Amino acid sequence: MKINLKIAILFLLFPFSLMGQEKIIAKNTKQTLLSTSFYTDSVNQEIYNFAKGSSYYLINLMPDHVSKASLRYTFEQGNFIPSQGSTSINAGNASTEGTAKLGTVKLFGAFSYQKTFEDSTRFAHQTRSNVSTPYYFGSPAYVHYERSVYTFNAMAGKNFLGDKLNLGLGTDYKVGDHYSTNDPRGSVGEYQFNLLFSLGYKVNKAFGFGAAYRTGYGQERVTIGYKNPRYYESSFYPMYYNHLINGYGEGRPALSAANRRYTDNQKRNGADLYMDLNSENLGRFHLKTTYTKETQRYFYSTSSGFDDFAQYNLANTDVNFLWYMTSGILSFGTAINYSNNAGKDFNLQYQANNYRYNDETSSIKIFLSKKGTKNTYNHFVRASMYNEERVDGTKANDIYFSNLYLNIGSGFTRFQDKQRFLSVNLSAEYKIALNDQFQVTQANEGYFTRYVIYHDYLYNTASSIGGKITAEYGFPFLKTMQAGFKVEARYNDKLDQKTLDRNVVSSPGNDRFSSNISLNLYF
Amino acid sequence: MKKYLYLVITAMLFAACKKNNTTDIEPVNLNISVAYNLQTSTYKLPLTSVKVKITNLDTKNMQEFTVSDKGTVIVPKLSPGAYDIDASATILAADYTTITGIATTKDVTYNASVKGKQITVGFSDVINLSLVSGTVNDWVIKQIYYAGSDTKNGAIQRDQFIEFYNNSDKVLYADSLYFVETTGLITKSSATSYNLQTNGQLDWSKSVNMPANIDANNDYIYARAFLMIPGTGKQYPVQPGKSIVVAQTAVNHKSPFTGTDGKVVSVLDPSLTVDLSTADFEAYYASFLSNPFASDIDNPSVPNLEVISYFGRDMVFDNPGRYSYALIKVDGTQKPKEWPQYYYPTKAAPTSTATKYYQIPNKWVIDAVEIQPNEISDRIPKKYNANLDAGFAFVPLGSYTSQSVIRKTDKSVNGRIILKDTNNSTEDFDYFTIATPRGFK
Repeated sequence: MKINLKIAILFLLFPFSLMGQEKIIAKNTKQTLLSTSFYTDSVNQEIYNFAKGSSYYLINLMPDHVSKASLRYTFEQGNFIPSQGSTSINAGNASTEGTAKLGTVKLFGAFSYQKTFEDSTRFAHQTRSNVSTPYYFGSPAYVHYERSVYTFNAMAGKNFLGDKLNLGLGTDYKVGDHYSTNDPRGSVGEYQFNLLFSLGYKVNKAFGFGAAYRTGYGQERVTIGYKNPRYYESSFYPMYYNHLINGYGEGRPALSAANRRYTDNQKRNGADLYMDLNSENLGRFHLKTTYTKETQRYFYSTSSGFDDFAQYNLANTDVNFLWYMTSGILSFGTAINYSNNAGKDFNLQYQANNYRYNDETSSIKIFLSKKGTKNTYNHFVRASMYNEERVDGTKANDIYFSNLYLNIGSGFTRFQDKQRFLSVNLSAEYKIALNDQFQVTQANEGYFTRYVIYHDYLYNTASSIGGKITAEYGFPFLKTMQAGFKVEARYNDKLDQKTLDRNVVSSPGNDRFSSNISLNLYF
Repeated sequence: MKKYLYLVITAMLFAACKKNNTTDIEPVNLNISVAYNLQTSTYKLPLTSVKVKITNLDTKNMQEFTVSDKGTVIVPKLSPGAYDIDASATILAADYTTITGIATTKDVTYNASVKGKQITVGFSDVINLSLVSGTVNDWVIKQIYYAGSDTKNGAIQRDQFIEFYNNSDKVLYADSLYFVETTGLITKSSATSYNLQTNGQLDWSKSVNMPANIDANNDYIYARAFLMIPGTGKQYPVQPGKSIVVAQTAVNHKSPFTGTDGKVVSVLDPSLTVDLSTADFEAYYASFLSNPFASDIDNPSVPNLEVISYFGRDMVFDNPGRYSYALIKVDGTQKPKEWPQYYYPTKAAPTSTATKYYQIPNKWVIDAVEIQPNEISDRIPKKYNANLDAGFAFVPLGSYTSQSVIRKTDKSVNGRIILKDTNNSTEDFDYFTIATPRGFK
């Protein structure tokens, strides 16, 4: 933990330290305004977020020096949530990120710490970053969860051979601690570490390509404890005893202390391919494809050896395409993304594959930014489609749904003077349920089916409409920095919901409200 | 521009198409075949009145089916796992008499069960259930309080009792009524030390000196404790709809009392235990033991049981519920004290100090209640066959929880409560949250 703390402090100070090393620039208000402008321009943000995915893009797509530090408080409430969500969330977040150039080496660093308080969450003693897993503990009774998550990201890139060859290195590290404060008391510890080595070659000014190798590993350690021994001494209290889920169907009681713990070791490897096209007339095109394969081993080690419980393989395919160009005061572009996660378990009890998971996201976003001397206008339209399927062979459960999301947004940033600005953005979202499949064997119906499967089916096949408003006021801060006080509110309202001729004991609520306020420093 | 938009939308819709995600394994279609185990072929009992229940032991989900006229039923899409499979048929007394020509005034219930059956992936065997009618008798075991009460705030195990009930419409006499705590394989982990039957229970036929010409496993049960209610023959009458309570120690366990060592025995929470000061009989081991429990005091106003064989330092019932209980009534031809005793059928030869257990003929068992631990993972192979008890009972919270198993009320006739007795404890018994001597449910 001491090491984690040191790393946290190091990363927290990273952007500031860069500022300190480049005092001349940092003291320059122009730099501060550059950062501010960068973070308030939607096209820049699209490019920046795209570039964060790989060190391959560090030199070409990230500015040489932008920095941001944020303090954010988030509040969410409402019952229009998936079954394993939480009815109320309070979260505090501190984060910093920035880029810098040290000689010919370009650097990116980011750190984030988030403390989350989740009220009324059920059937999910999980980290929330491994949601497709078939193997986890849960109970129907609501618990209060607290989570502390630190994330660290760093990238470095350098050009060789007259800028023709680009070498990059990226790493991210995450450590988290999650625990519930009432019975059943889940305690979930996690860490994740990933490395990326990228290599790019610029054939000429118009064309470049590259590749990367990804590798990483992680671990989740889960233990369920109780204050009230009655809840684990017998299976008489199904709302509270520990259910072991292994698939997408009813679990079984896991009562004794030896059955209330496991370790999930994760290993992943993958590769990226990149292609870039630059055209003076048509703008810049970037294509990135990523394939990673992760293996998860669920086990527990004792003095007598390893007890293996389950195996799970998860393959991820991402295809990201970005096009953008600038014409005068207009910047515009399109982002097309496709993502697929395909999971398949090997059930050790049955010595066969019993669980399949598949999700796909396809999206297209068209964005436009019009930059004036006083005002900047940002607009976007986005259409995305998400489908998901979970299959449990021995339970004969097969649930599939497909949804279309339509988003439109518009906003402006008005600079009152060089260091003061007001930014307002509005967006709307419409979720349309396209099609679904509901195949759940009623004979096998129990707590998990009633509380999770039925609830999620109703939630995922409901249509909804929502809106978001964001406002930020920027002002000078400590002479060398720009501060922005930002408020965001989002509301999502359920339009209609299917009826299910089953024993439904939990169904989604009508709406969800979420908001956050943040203080952002740009420098 | 338009054609690009169409292209994108078409591509997205294509992406939304459901992929064919199939798994390697699927649920089981379970075939069950039911037949009456009749001693004669001169008549046939109706199969369509047979109900089959199949209960998943993890989820407690229960499905009920009516069998076809051929006695078959298919349970579709059954998830692999452990199941209790019970079949029962109740034939009205008049119908039974008409069909069989055997005069009876009571409905006849046939039972069959397979407990804890593991249905594996690809299971294709047929589960055969052989329906047998059990003994329906005037005496029944009404309540068994074996769990005891809280080890810190309650009376631990010294407040245990068992209750017998006159389920008939005539006066019965408790004199010379025997009851046994039945033993067998108790811990699965020690199974490798014993000769076992295919059902996992002890193979008593392999006991030393067991006669070869008897069915040692199916016609007998074996007693860890063997006790008898004393009496001269008509000394202890029990009225119809009344019961007798047999206590381990017949005192009010809610109140402090002085043990044989002169120290006060008390409980922190009287609500967790019971008042057994009005019990009809008690077990008093101190008269013949060198180290009885200090709490085993003799209540002079409550007659003591006659102890034929015993286990431990008092009439202590097994808290987790691994032993079972049977009520025995013999005629004048029998001398139960002289019934033979046998060693456990261990693979290794018994030592000179090994305990022998009374062999009780099933024919003298007038009621039997199989008890099992509350958690499925702790359950052991049944000790009683379907003739004695097709099911089993348990207290859901387990040891030291003040709970008792209580026979359900079937009906009331002219104010006399008749308790349910289908010879299947799973169906016949419920539980009391706090054991209640002479209570009804």
